[in-house]
Amino acid sequence: MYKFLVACSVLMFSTAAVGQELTADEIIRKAMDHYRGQTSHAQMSMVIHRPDWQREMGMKTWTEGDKRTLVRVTVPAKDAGNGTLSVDGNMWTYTPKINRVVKVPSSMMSQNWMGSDFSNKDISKDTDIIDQYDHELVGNYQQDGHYVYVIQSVPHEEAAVVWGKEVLHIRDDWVMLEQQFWDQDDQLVKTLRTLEIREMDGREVAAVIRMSREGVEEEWTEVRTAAIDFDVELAENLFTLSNLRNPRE
Amino acid sequence: MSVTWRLAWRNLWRHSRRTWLTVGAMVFCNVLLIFLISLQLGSYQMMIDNSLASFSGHAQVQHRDYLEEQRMRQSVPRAAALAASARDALGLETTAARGMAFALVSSEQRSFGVLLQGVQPVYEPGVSTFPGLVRQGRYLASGDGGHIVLGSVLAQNLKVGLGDELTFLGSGRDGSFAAGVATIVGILDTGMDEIDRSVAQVPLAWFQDIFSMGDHAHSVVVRLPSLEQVPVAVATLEGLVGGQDELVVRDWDALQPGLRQAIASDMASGWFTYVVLIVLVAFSVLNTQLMSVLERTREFGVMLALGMRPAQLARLVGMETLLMSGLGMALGVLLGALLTWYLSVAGFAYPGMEELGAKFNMPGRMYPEVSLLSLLWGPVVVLFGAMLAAIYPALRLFRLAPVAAMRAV
Amino acid sequence: MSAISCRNLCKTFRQGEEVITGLDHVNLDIEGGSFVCLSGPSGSGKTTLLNAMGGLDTPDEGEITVGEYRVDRLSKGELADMRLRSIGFVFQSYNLIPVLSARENVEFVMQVQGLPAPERRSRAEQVLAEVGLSGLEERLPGDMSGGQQQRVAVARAIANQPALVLADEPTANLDTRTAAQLMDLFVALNRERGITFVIATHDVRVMGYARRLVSMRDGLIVADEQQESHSMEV
Repeated sequence: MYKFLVACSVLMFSTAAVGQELTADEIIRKAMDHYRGQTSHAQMSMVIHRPDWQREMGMKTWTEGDKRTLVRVTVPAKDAGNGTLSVDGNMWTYTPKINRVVKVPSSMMSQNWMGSDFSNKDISKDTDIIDQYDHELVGNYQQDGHYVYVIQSVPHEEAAVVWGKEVLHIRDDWVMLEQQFWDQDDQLVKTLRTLEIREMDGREVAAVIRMSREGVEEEWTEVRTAAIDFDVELAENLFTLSNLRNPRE
Repeated sequence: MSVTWRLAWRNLWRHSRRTWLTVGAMVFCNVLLIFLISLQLGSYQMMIDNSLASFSGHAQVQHRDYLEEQRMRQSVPRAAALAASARDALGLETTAARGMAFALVSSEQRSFGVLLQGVQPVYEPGVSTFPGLVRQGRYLASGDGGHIVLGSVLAQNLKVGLGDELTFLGSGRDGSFAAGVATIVGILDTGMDEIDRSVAQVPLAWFQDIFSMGDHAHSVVVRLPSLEQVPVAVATLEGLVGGQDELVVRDWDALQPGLRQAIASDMASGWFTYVVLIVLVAFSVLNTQLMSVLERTREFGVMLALGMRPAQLARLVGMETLLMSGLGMALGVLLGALLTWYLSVAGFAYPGMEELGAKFNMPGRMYPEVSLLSLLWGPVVVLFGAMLAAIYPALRLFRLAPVAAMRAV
Repeated sequence: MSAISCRNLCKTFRQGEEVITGLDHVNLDIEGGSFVCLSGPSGSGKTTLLNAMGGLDTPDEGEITVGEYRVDRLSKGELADMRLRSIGFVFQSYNLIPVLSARENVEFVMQVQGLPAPERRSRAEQVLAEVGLSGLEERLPGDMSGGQQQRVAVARAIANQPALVLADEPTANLDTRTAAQLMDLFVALNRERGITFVIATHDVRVMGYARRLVSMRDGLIVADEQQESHSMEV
């Protein structure tokens, strides 16, 4: 879930920073630093689109720092109550139908999350990019009066990462505009794009983001953020297995 | 019979021991080739049968994109009914519907991703050998609901045994969350790790319920008594699904493209052995004919002096070689046919093969294929090889001068 | 016109370092229907001359005409054709094909000539009868005496009805009596059929049959005389 939360976590950043000579590491770190230590609570919907059908789910998300996420499905009724908890890179799923919590094994992390175009890893681990990649500023451009950094991130040799590289487009107010995933043969696999940016809770938020695989643009998954509150008080036991199993919300 | 043919025939027996040795080498080579080739062809037949019998069947009805993409939504509607009408149309019981879904299967301690198979407990044993390989507990039976049979390695990996419960998580056909709990009733052991690590089967009705499939499944599998019946069966099935554009009938070659390739590459490696055998025999013929030409230099000199052309002498040597290799071919094909015919009836087993067969729920004996191809391919090539080998001795005759040749001892 | 005409025939052989003279400007004419003996010691050139006439060996120089053929100008194939159709050969050691019967040996040559099977058979039997081998047609050479084998060879030589028979030491392996019978046969064929016989020999018994005796030494004709033929005393 952090994958799109990176994009969501909007940081009002003074333009004073621009103009200073920022390194690629610093740009990503700045974005993440603003994003760390924060909490958030959002109402979202996920739309999975295929040429012959489409499915929409409503969900609530909670985040704390870069290591904790809880997603709870609210709509449709058939699926309400299903939840995913991710803490420190581990992931658990709860299904009320069988009333069980199941840990998602690491071998399954690159599988789709709930039939969407996001992988389990996309949902739970994106801040790995800070520690496990080397970053390089490869370009910049102007867009809508903003300055946009283009950063190429290549994983360390020993990093347990499936990608060959990622390319990030980050606006000077730290809204992520685009994130490209390239495989080890240097082929573009999929791209996460920000389609709509809106102000919510006083910040510029990537309100609609869309993940689509290269070459099959008619298949995509969008996450639309209806409302988001930042720096909210969160219950202490929110990110625990027992809470996952017994939703009070 | 002209004098020349008589001459050629009698010339062969001037050194009858030498001729018999060469003919013997050809007979041995021909019998060996016939045996190896018919065994090879027979083993391909068995390989195809076993490989298809284990799971994929000889033909399947699928959604047209399922083979490529294997998506949940690429399904066959009214699959069980379609399987039933296929049984009637083909007059065979060996037809069954199957659903397939990727799911996270979890025990108390472990979780793995598996391709869960929804099968018809009554019909599945007719299209697959897996049900016959249950080593603990039992196979699925009609009336089973939340019950599962899984591979021995998968059971080990999940640290579960008979009676334990497993949970499944996945996506339903409509994209909804699919989840279920099933009790292990059987553990099967195919002896092939890859399969024992991955196979997990539940009753189709329960599968359809869990994965919101309605009456859909992903394939209708048909197993046939022999490969020859595939085209007719495919046509029959195509008649049944006619009008449903999204459905296609795929034969075994489309389902398992690797099989034909494996056979082709095995065939190529077999050819090397055969070529070596044939070259050895050709050299033996070359040696015999060269000796026979050299020792008759004087006689050939006389014939040249009498007015024969070198080409006529070369033809004589060619006729001798043809008679000799024809004899080798006739005897070789006769003995080879008798041997392979006997083996094709009685079967043929390597030591330990029957035990192996029993373990894998496969036939324990091989039956060589007796066909015109398997009988004649080797011997005909040997014959050509022998004729090629006679070219060099025959060419020497063109260098012969009558006077010098007549002075030779 | 002469049946055989040789003009300035020369032939040398190389034997190691040595150059041996086979024929040294030989001139010789032989009339059709002759019965000629070429005599002389080994190495005198008589076999070389015989081979030149038969087209088995080509002279280094000179002209040679046999019947209508300019032998020294013919190709190998034409020579083979000439031998097959116009000349009969009889060799010192019979040279029959050991795996064929007397009849088959005779038939074989006719088959090479392209005669149809029924004609081959009747002619072979007729020729064998002519050389006195009736009843022995199906014998293999190995089961016959030397004289009988040589008769088969003669039958083979005359099967194609040649105008010329060349014989190289035909009696060398035969006893006196058998040799006499063979020579009588030659004489009879010469008289009755008008076949020209040229026989290379150093057997004095044979020379007695000749009406013309050509003596050679060191590749030169040293004597050429007509004589009364007389059969051997047995």
